[in-house]
Amino acid sequence: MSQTSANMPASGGRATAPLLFRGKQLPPLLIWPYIALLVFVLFPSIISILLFSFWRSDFVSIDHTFTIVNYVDALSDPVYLTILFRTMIFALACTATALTLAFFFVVAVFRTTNSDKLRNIIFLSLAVPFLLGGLVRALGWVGMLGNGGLINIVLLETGIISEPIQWLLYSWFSVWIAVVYNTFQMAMFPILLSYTAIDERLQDASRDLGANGLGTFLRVTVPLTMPGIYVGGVLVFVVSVASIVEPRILGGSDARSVAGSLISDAMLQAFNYPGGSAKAILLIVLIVAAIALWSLFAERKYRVFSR
Amino acid sequence: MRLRANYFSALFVAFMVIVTYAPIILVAALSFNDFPYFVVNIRGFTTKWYFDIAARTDLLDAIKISVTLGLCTAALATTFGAAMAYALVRRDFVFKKYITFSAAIPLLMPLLLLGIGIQLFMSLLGVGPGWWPLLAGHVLYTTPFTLLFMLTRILGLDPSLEAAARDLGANTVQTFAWVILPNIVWSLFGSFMLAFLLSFNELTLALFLAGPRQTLPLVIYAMMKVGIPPALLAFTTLMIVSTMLVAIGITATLAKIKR
Amino acid sequence: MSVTDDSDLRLAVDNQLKSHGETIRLEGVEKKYGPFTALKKTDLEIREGEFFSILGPSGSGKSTLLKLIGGFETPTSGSIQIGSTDVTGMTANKRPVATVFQSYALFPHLTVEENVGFGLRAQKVPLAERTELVRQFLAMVNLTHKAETLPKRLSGGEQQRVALARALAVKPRILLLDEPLGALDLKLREAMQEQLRLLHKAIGSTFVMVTHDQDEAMSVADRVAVMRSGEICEIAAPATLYQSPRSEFAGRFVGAANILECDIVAGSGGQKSLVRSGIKLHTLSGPDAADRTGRVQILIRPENISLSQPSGGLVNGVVRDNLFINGTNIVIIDTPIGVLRSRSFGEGVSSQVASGSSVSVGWEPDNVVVLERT
Repeated sequence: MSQTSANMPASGGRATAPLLFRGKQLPPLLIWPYIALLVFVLFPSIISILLFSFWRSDFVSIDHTFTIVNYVDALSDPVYLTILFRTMIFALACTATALTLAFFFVVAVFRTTNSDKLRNIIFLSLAVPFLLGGLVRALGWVGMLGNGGLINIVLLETGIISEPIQWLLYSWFSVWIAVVYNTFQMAMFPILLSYTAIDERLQDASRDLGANGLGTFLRVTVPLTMPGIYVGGVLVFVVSVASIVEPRILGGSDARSVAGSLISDAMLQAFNYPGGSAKAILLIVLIVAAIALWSLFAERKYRVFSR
Repeated sequence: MRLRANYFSALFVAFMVIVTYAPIILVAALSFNDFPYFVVNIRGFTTKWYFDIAARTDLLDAIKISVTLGLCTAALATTFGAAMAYALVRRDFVFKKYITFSAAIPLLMPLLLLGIGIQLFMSLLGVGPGWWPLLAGHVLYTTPFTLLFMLTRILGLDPSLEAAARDLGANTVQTFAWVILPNIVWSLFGSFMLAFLLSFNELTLALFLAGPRQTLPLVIYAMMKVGIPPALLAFTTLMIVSTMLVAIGITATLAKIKR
Repeated sequence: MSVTDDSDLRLAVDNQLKSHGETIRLEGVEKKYGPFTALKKTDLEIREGEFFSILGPSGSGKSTLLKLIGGFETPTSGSIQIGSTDVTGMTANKRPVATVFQSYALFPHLTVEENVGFGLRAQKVPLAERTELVRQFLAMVNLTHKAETLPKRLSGGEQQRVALARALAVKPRILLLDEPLGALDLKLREAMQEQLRLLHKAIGSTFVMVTHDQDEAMSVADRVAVMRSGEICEIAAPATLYQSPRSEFAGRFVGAANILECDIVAGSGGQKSLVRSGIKLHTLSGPDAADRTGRVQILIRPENISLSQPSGGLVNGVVRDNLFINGTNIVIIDTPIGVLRSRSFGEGVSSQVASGSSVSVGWEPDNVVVLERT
């Protein structure tokens, strides 16, 4: 049967003698407004951060002479560096947790039931809270983790502890919980996509060749889900490293200062746009570096890109 | 071996579901608790906190703003997302890869940075934070989602239908209105609701870009910094319930699409 | 022809539904997709009101050719004219062409009558007139009783008739058919072939049909174009194409063929003889003989091969197999000049020879076709 006949034109018979630019048509009129938004808002915004990082300002005016003093200040400030470092570790912890939980969750759902319908219900039901927004969810955790919160009260009532656990709330712990909770979906969906794409027969084949359950798991399932894990990891890391809402609400005095809050304070409170911008650029650099390392790992060990 | 694994898995799944819904249910439960603090100290059932809401004009004003913003964002994001999805699937054009990547940037870029960027850019233009910068930010943030949503639908749309329409003499407008639109209506709907929810509940961009007209999350955030009044719990519960309803609506449209 | 609800076609054509065709002229038309040439530079003229079939295997470029005529693709170079109008740059919706798609492409969200009336609605035909035309075309394809049904509830044959009615409703000068009968079962297909032919005669527009099935092409068309690897190999009426093809590809494509490579040897008295494997077959005469020398390929259709025992033919051989298919005997014979295939009806030597028996093979020199060098 002729392939091309069956796929009568994908373009549905459009324009005549189209204008060509480098051999291809111009983007259709349809998307010019959106392109305009990207070109005239998104790009300049990103560039603005870069620009401001090389300027100086006081409360009144901006000095546009090129200078790297903002970077020097930031990089020579031990407090800033400590916070940056802590944020990175924190983000890595969140990413690791989210990925692990998401991965095992997907596997668990698949093992719990064979019904596609039930599986979809479970996955969707976990996705719904995602739509509530970080704020509402953070609020919920305040109630869960506080001294008078659900966890403490339950533990107290059942006699497991005699005094409420203090560090549940207003600590790195609570911020960690909240961020993982908020980013879980971003890890789960890519992993789910990759996992469902795995041909079951590959796992059977592995067992057929003599590998036991664990072996199959490590050597077949994980590598095949790696593209999803990779994407999930990127998404979670990026969000967690730049989070400001959860640290503010749940961080208490310990954990409220993360890289993101330094930037937002600089922008909103000190009005030190250049300072904030420089810190933002440094953060971007770190994110890019982290993603690069992650990509290298994914490619070397699991050939995520060469598939 | 299989059986044990299944029980363990089921347990884990149950655990995750419980953990996911616990904070939300807690908020809802305590909103009916006759105790003015956000702690588990059950005193009795009351709905008085809900009536408190009526007095909080700041919340009520903020709702109006968030709803309007949400509707505008959703309208624009759905249109852009659908247009982009169609162009990606049906046409090949110059810079296609770059444009696609740019459309995805807001997904990869932390909202913090997007917010600062737009704020800085606006300041260069001499524009302060306000409705338009926030709208731009929200549209940039939500369009990748609507794009993905519509992409799935348009990929499943038979291209020969459009060819047939043109073949019979329909021009572009007619082809769109009579052939394409009827077949993507439900997805547009779902996209719209998704974008609306995302915009309605969004805080980070609003921190930087909202002007004098504060959105709902901003007002709640400000409240929370001081303490958590029980009226807030009641209000949040209402937000949760309405979001759930919209989410069910989206799921229903998803089901309709599959048919 | 068995009459089930589906094959009860009785396409009844009113004079009111008549259209008239146009010529289609392609000059130097080429279509490339990047480095890949789907259609090489082609010149083609399809006559007004003719039923033209484009036949070829996958990848031969036949679908591309159809898309170019229909306006779904623009040629990389060359021009296309319909009648006296140059339509090269014209979009599909402006051309007086309508298509019956391979997948039918019925609008799933519209009923049968809405589907049929779609083109008329697009062209802003007033409601009353439109309703009447739709009614007539539905009657023509016998689907009046299904006017308000959705496509998904129709059988394959019914969907095909809707597609046909929908395309004809806009009274196109040219009707394009893209493998229209491919999805139908054999009985239905044969019935539809006949109906298409009748339809064409009644309506009068130019029909252009693309197919990979040679029986289909040969049974309905006035002329057939055989395509291969992006170019037209040969164009001829079905009978001519079958009996006197000019190219080996076309010869093989439209039916079973015995193709032998022979040398032309000049003999006494200026006569030319065909010789293969040292065996002289017979003299070559007629217009074919005139300028030929050296090596040629000849083609003989299996029906023209006769068997006799124990001798009497041009060459002797041994029967390899004797098959009875569709009421005919297909006998495959090993001979010194190659493996030959014969085909015949009824009683005769063919029905009697079994594998392994000796038989003599021969044919009339008049039935030999000398192929052109490709």
